[in-house]
Amino acid sequence: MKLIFQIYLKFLAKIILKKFRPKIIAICGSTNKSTAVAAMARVLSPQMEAAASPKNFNAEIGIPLSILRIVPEGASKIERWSSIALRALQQVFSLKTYPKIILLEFGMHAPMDAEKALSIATPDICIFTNLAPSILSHTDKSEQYNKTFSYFLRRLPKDTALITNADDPHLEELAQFFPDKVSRYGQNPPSDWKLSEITDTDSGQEFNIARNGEIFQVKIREFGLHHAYIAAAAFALSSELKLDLKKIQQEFCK
Amino acid sequence: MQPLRTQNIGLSLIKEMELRGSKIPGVVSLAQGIPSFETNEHIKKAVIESLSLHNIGKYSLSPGLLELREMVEEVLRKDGISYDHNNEIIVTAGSIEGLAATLLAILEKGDEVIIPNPSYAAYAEAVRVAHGVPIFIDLHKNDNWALSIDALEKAKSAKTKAVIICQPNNPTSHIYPESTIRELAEWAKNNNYFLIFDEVYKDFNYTAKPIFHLAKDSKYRGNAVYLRSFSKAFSMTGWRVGYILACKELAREILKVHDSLVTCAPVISQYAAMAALRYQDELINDIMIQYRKRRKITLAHFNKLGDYFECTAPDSGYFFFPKILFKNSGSKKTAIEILEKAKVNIVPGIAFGPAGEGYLRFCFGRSEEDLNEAFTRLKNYFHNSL
Repeated sequence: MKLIFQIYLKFLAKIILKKFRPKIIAICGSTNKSTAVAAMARVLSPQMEAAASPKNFNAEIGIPLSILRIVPEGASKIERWSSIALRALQQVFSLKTYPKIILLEFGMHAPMDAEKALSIATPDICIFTNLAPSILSHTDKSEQYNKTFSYFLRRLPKDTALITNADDPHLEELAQFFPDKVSRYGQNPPSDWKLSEITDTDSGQEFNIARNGEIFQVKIREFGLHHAYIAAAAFALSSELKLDLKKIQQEFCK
Repeated sequence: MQPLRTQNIGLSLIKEMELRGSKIPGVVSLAQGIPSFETNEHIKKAVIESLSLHNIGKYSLSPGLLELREMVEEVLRKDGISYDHNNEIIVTAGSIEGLAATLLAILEKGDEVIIPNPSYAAYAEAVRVAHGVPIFIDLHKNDNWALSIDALEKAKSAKTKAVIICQPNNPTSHIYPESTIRELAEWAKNNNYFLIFDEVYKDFNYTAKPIFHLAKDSKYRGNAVYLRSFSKAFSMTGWRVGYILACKELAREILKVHDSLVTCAPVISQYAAMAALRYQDELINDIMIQYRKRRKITLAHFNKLGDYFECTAPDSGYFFFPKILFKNSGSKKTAIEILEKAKVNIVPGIAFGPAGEGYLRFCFGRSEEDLNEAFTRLKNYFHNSL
């Protein structure tokens, strides 16, 4: 039953993608995907309307629902399948306009997950947050990551733009599988979007994001280095989308 | 055997009452704060699924599964609170382990910890376990258990290191207002004391006003530690999982103790916690409907026992803490007498500190059937014995 439901949602989601052809941005990695999607949608939206995956909508059901722009009622997302199925069909007929871009969270634990995600939506731009292990014995997990994400990267079309975290050694291990167009963010070389001067303040963090001599000072209210990484990735994405980076900087500082 | 340091540490009266009760057949227990609800099916189902998907049998990283900490960070952000899941959130084996790890990290031998009382019975013992000295100050019983900064000021000494605040409070079930918490925070900051907030009842609110969490104000993050738990709102007492929020400098030190105490919280429970957070709005909403109902039932019972108890409806938690109006020889003897004669187990107020004397704690987290049976027995007991 679940499989039929997944196929049905995938079919409808593909109709939407074919009809509106939004630029697909996939957010991948082991953690910080939901945070990245939410932050990026927020800072991009004044310049370019963005559809975005709701929190943790990142697998065979969540990705199509994100494309169909359906958030099941009730925070628990335990809405009845029949009701979702009906709403999904209604969306195909009722959606008249669609944002130019969609930020999709791709949750992948095994090559099969990568296969499934790519069969629903092929990304134009792919952003990696990190590949941090959660289990104390890293070996199994690292191998699993390696298998899953190398498979995913190999399956990406050649012209996909990849935005990746230069400071994550697990990601850099996969460099041989990267597509041709890569931009990196991080504190260390070979970052194209270099993070520096990261400081905690009473109310959050301040840092600089620099590229080709141009420096953007950013202040955010959140604590934690990963938020600085997300900001740097958002700048890289905005550049890829040819948006005004000064405005992105202002949005972050709001 | 050589004398042991733990000889000076007592078993809490709550546990003592439970042990006494367990020896008497047919007792209805309103003593320990255990919800009668089973852990929700969605959580159980997610745990069963995780058994086949993940490395359940392996240690997680000491601060907890990254995915869980990330979810905690996201949930906090929705509440306007920012803590870094990489460095400032530690998943613990319940909040009591979080408290022990925090106290062991911050206390030197002989350091004093101020505990406004009545408050949760285990605080004083946890302080003693960490070589500290608990210093009780009284909450104002005639002023809705208000906390006075004057009392804190009088209790402080050169050895004062921290204050433990249960927000909302157990057993009084009152919620400290924002003004009190801010005043307390300012006082602690000025004196460079740690504030340890036990927020295990944060999801229980029967009032129209939201509960204020100091964590929203990053100004005090250097001084504050927040202890949270999945036990109460998600009926997960047996899973032993909670989390700590602290600034990275403090969290780094607490983590060392946490690591030496438990290595990590049980991994299977961490997956259960992830499911709880995923469904939290619906689960908490559903369970609060039940607690509201039970609170109303219990209040109606107390209204019929107005000659024996004086009480107000709790603002939070799942406890009534009525004042004993009948002649008695102390809350402990009274609770034991009620246990033995009425076969209803409750906790004497003295268990929660000296200011709790003259009160009894009744847990209304039990089933409606248990509540009705307990109060039928109590009515019979009071009508026949007093």
